[in-house]
Amino acid sequence: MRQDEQDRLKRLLQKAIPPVDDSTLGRDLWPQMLHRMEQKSMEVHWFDWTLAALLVIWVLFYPEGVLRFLYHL
Amino acid sequence: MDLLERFTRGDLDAFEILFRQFQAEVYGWILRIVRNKATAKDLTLEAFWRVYKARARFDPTRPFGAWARRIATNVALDHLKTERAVVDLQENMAITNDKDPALQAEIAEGIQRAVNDLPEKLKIVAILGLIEERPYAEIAESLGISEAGVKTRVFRAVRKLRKRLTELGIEP
Repeated sequence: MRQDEQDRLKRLLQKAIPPVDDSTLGRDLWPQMLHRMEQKSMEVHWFDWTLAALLVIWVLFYPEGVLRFLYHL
Repeated sequence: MDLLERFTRGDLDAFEILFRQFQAEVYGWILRIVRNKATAKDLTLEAFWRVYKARARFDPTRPFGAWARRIATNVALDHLKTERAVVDLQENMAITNDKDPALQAEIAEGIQRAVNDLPEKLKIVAILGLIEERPYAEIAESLGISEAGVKTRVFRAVRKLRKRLTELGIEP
């Protein structure tokens, strides 16, 4: 493929999808970032949910196991 | 202690300084990829959250901006993959011609469809390399590949675009 063909395609693309001319942010995102960090840190990881679910299933299907477990503590 | 070292140890004040210093750069980079201001702002926050989570893996002797941009590129790429995001047609409708605006709009729509149909890895280099005309070295660094790799992807993107445009009846 020749360079001029690529340049022609580039010009065609830029006509249909113009390059971003204004990428200024406008405002400080730090307050939103703090809010996001608070939200994320309160989220419970899927692994913890899985462990909790396995524990509940264990207690439901093998209740005497809880007593045995407590005995060995 | 150095700012970057403080950041890697989880100092929130250091992170705030870095965030304020690099938020505009990261936002601008993401905006160039996703081409939607609201989405770019949201993804900027996501990128910095990932930056904060990965702070222990950051090497303070290396430039923070390049590392943050690489994470931002991955966030934008994930967005393109999961959302099957499309270039906003209305925002980008730019080809206008007094003689036949309807035909020109149709051509513009066809071109945008062709770009949106590209696989994400090729779409990102087509947008950054061909439309935004960012240096290949910068694209390579943000994607974590070599400059030769970027050239190959641009070549493949151009070939696919030409084929798709021909199918759509647009002479590339």
